[in-house]
Amino acid sequence: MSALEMLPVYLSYPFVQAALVVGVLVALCCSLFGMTLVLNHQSFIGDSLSHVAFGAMAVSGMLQLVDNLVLTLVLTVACSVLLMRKGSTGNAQGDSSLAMLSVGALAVGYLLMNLFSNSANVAGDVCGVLFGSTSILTLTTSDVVISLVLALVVIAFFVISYHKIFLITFDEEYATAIGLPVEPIKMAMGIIMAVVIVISMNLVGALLITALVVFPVRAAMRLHHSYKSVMISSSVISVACVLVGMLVSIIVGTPVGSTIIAVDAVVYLVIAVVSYVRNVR
Amino acid sequence: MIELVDAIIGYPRKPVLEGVSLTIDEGDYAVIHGENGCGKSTLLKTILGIIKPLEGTVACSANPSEIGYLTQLNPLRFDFPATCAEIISTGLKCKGSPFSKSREVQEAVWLSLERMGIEDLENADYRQLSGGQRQRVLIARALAAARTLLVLDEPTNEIDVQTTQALFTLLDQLNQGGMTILMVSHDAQAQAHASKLVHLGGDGVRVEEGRPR
Repeated sequence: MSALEMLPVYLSYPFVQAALVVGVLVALCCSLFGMTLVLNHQSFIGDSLSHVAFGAMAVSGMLQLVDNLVLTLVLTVACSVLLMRKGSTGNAQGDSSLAMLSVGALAVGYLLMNLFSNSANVAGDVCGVLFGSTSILTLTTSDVVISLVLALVVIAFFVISYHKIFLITFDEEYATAIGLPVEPIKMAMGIIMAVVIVISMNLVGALLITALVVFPVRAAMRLHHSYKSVMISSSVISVACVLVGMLVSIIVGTPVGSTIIAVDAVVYLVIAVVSYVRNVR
Repeated sequence: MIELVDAIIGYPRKPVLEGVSLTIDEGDYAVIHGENGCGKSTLLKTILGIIKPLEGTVACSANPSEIGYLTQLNPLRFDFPATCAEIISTGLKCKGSPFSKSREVQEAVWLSLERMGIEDLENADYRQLSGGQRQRVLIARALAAARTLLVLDEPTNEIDVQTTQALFTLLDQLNQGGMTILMVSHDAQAQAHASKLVHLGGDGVRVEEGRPR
């Protein structure tokens, strides 16, 4: 029986179903806040925060904590809120601060893992965290519940605050002048972003999260010219790419995270070519 | 409507204007002018609550949801995917706006597009517009939102002579209808229309009466 013929069998496994549900939810969340990051020229905040999460996981390991999720979340949320408050792009100082945070957290994390890990395969563990490995296929019921709750919170936040988020992203000064609670909304976004990134690390790994945040939004921006259409379209593209990537990964036996990102990249390239040809005509 | 008493405005460790005392009454048409970097936009931002005064009192009695504000064009947003109608309407749709129904919002958008002579740009892609068109869209956004106070930061930037003339005629009409107008402008035309001229310079803030209201 070929791998393709085995697909219905794979799909009947609870762990595969759980992975697909979590994948779809994470894809949806990443595309929603990804739009704000891309339009704010802050795409690399996602990357930096994932590196902070990696460093935080290493600190958890050093402290021999039973569950490293809490400390990872606390440190990543703290950094995210700080970055959202200070503003991280638009000038050389902000951009280089982001780069220093990113590589600093990655280097310290790797150093701590080497110094304090009890594992016999540190290189394999590091690779797993950075590139996702197969952890998406080993999710527990509580992982699925956490992802479901998180996705509902993120979607509710974006639906309720849709106009405010649009306005703050497009013109923060104007939003402040007409009395919108700009800082609380930015803080809420920072917290949500950090939590989504920590959860997403299970899916694609720390190094590839930026791709999940950026590719669908950029593809949608090439197809549509209204904010609402771009937001809906990027969510659809993101979910579709994650589903296709995971199924290809299951059938072919490739790493889940990099397969998803490869699908995202191919879809973006196809859309970019189609959009270019359409514009030339 | 607006009162500043002995205010020091600017940024932490970088005061821009000191000892600012200024009153703008309801129905005034005030134009602020001065050399580059003298603090005109900073003064506007302080009045609108975007920047807190370092010292002194700054009070604006206008309800924030009834203020129309033209910010300066931001090149970082030239690649923002949105239609002109979305840009004009979004502020109106936020909570606290006097507009609650979508039909009212739509009517306000159409009226402001018509006033700026850009009805054809309603569903245009903001990314594809010229600098002048973008400026007109942002002026239309300010007009759609303004109920009691219209604040404009360099409104004639990027726009052509005819549009500038039409804009000043429109502002005169709005002011005669009771709208308070506060504008930063180097344009001599703008200063000729003002009922109050605010000079910012090395000697601080100096207020002169302009054209009678």
